[in-house]
Amino acid sequence: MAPATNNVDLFENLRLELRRGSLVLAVLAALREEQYGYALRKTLSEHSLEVDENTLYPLLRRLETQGLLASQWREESKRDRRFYRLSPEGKQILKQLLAEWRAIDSSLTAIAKE
Amino acid sequence: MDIIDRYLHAIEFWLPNNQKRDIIAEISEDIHSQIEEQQSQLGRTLSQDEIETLLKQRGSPVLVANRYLPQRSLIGPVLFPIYLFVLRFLPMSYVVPMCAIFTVTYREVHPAATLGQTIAAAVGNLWTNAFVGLGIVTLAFAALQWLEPQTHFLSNWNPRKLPAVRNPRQISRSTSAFELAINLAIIPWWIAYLRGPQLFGFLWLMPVWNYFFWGFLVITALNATFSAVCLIRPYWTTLRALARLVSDSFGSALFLWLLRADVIDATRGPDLHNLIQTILDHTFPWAVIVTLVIFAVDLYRVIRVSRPHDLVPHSLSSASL
Repeated sequence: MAPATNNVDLFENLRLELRRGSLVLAVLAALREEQYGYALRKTLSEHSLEVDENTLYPLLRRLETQGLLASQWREESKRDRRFYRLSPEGKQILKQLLAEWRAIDSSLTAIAKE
Repeated sequence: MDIIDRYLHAIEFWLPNNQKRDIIAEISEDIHSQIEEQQSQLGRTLSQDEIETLLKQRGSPVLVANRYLPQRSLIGPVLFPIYLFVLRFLPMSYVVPMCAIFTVTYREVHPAATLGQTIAAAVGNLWTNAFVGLGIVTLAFAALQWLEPQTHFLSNWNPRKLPAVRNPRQISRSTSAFELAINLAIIPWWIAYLRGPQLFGFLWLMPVWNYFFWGFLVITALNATFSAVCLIRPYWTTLRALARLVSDSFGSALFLWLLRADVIDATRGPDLHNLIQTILDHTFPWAVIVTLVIFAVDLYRVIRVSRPHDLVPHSLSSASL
């Protein structure tokens, strides 16, 4: 029983590690359209990328500090919400990251076939 | 919604002042959006228990706040293994020696102290030294951690300056040659000048000196032989490590006995006898400490040499490169 449990844990850890690297890309790509935090979580979730709020919001702040995102507080549905969108610099980086992602995908696909 | 306010307030406590309002407003908005969505799905207001469950799922306030703080550590992951490595040596290199020095000094200052009082004082001092040592090492590594981003000393390294791969069983030939020369020089000097009963024209020795004369002479001769063997075959074996342990123990025991043997003839000069005896009495506790250190080193060598070693085989370095 123990090895099976360990394998499940191991797989889960590796899966999280794999997805963690892709999260920045997913967030940047999703923010080509302006969204507030909770809506962004829902968008990612609809694409099978569940992100917990304690990961997403600090990441959004970091990306904004790095100049890849811009944000503003605005009232919507009678509540103040912070809306994020990709900055011009973020658009540039996203383009480069997507190219890198496709290159990795293509390499992995080729290696997995061998 | 008192429970949510309390939760947000608890998070706020840990956040940096210049960001707290912004972060709390965003978390608050996220919580309310989540509650609103769940209420809309259920078609009713969430109960206090359900809100409590929802907050619990988000994590404890300090954990949530921690995700917004920059990653900080007193000693970072690169230095931490080195820190642990240094701490392993702290007991034998600092705590025990300092405690030994304290014990000897304590006995000098409080000659009337009982053994129990001395042990109690030594144990108390042991803890003080342990915490002081731990504090010093921790502060030193915290300072290194602080300096690293400015000096990049961990990145500035040179493969050529890495220590050479050393066989722990290897005995340095130069050390053996030096020991052999010293021992060979001592033997004729010892025989010529320390035979007794009169030394250097003014010091008269008791007949007991004969034991020390021959004892030290035999040990010196054995050490000379030992050094000669190590010069020809420069590596430790268990037998040689044991021989060194026995020889050093015998020599130390003889030396301690010498300090206590009252070897100076008091009838031929009481003042000088008293002076030398006072010096020997004060030397004795320090000699005991040195003896224990030598014994510990020799014993460690026996244990180390008798363990199997995993060395990088020479064939690997030469064949694969």
